[in-house]
Amino acid sequence: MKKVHIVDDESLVIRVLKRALEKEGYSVRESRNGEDALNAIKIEVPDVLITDVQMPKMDGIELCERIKLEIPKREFLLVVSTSRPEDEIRKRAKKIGNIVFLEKPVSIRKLVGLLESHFLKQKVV
Amino acid sequence: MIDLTRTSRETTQRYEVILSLVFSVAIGLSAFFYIQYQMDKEREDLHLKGQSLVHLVSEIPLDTLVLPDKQAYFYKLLTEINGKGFFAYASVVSSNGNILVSLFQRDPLSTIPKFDISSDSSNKSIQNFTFNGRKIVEFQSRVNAVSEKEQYIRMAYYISGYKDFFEQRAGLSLAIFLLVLAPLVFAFLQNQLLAPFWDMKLSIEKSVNKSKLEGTHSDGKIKKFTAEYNEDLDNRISKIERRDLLTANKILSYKQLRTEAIIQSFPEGLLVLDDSGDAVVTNRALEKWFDLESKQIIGSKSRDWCQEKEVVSFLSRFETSSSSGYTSDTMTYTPENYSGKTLEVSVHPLFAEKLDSLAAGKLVTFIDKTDEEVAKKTRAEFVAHVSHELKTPLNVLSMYSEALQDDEDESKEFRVEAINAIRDEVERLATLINNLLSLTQIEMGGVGINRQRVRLNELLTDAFDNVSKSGLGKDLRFELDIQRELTPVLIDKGLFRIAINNLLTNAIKYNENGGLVSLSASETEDAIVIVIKDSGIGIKDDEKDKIFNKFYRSDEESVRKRNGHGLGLPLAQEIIQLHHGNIQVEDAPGGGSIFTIKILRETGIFKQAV
Repeated sequence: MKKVHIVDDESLVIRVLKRALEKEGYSVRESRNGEDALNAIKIEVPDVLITDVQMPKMDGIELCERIKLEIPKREFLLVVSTSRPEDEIRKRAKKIGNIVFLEKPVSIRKLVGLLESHFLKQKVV
Repeated sequence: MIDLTRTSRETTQRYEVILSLVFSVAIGLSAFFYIQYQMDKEREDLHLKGQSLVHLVSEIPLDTLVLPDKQAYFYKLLTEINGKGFFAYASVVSSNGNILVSLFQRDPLSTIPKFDISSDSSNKSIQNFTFNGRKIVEFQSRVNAVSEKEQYIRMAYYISGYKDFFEQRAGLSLAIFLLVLAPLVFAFLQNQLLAPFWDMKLSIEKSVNKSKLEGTHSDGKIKKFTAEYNEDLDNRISKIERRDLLTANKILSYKQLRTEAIIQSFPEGLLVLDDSGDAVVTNRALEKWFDLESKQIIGSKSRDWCQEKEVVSFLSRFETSSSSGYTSDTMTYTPENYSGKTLEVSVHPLFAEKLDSLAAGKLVTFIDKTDEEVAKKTRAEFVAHVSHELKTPLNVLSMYSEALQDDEDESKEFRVEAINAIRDEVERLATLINNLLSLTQIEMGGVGINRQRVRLNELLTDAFDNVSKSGLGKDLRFELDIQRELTPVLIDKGLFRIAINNLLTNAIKYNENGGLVSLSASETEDAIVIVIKDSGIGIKDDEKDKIFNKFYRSDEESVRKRNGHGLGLPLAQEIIQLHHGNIQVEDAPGGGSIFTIKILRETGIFKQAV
């Protein structure tokens, strides 16, 4: 079972996403901010990390930067859900590499499709 | 050789004399005819009056005429006709001219001319005689007496001559005399006044034409006058030239000083480089930026005085007279000594306006763009925040509606959960949009404040009841304590209600189960004081200022687990400040927060203004 870690400070988002992804057969963990997420994934590495950008304590991009720094061999996909990927965020994300942006409002269908496609590619490779 | 100038002068003078004589004669003749006319008129008048009077007197009985008490009356009557000085005599005579009674005689010693009336075949009642060496006119009339004898009244008056005329009209005589003389006098004076100018003209023409006059007629006086006049003219011209030069210098100096003042007073840094890149002009703002004096900059290249490598590198491109040195360019940098600042450096070639091929160096401006950058950054952050706050509830709405759409066999519990979530998010979105709009409008000054005199008791009670009964704080206790009579204040009801609502909503949101929300209002001399208290999670000391910043929300879990946008308090503060008030926050004893609002009453506003 593929593991998905959702990071968002909105409890409703986590709730609906978790439900949808669990229905698709994914195992879902959640965190309410970047700091908690970083600590959690060091213990249990996910296959996909889906994170919001604006969060307390540590925002989503900083989380990704810290992941790159502290988990250099990470192979899992980073999905960033954002209102509008501004230039500044894009610049920072480019340096991290292997990041997918999903613009809000996020479509669950799209997200599920994205994950399926990703895992399929992995299988082929 | 004929001296035309001299001839023309004499001719002119001759004409002037003739003309003035003609005028004098004309005036004299006019005066003569006028006098003659007046004298004839007087004579005619005398004849008429004399005839009437003599007939009148002849009707009066003789014995009445000679009465002593009537004498004065008759005398007056006789003399008034032509003035006392002209009356000669009045007597009663027989038909052969013998004087029977001498009634009145001006000069008693003179003998009245004898005249035999009966032998006069002309039968005229007017005769002309000579009496006392002067001509007289005598009026005769037969006395209308009862007696059979013929008796006649003889009344005589002197005829006035030129001497009498002039004696009687002295003023007129003098005026006529002066008028006759005036042209002659005028001609004489004019001649005298113009004489030196004629002489000067003669002298100038002599020297211009280089003509030789036979025996110089210009004497030392004219020469001296001309010389002095020329010298005076030269002096005046020199003075004017000097004054013009002085004025031009003053104007130039003033313009220069004014330009200098403009440069020095300019709020941004200014630097002028010559073709070789040496500084020729600086101003105070620039010197302040680099903490240097003008003498340390003037005459040097940027590498000699500027510590900022970026600036030196940028300006070095323009330290040349080649065409590349005459372009414009701009760069921004952060000064080493002012890390929070952003400076924009621009270079512009200077050209002389009237000779645009003539380069006059380069103008370098140093403009502080910090505020602009901060504003830009703030705007960008605001847009990012708004975007996030709007899209987050949309995100939830989208996900839930998608989930409902896709799954036909959703459980009832999920449906209820979805519907509630959708409803909550819609409300959240609506609140956000309203708060955003109000805030933006207030800040842009677009909100039309509709102030009315409002009794805050009612407004506060109403707002409190709405919130307390809304069901938001089911497990909370609500307390209201408003002073009975509060002085009405001028507020915008709608806006003020939003502010109170936001504070009450926060008091509920950030509270704990079984907690308390209270609202109290009282009045001081200058202000209405409103206090909203809660027994909730409280606010950390270092966040008490930040909570009034737009979109700020604490990172604390206790805050984050509760929905919010971070706009409620900033909006409340803006509204209160708009109403001449302020809001402060402090910790409530035993936990929670106290928000105190002070709205100045009119006396307070007045005091503050004074």
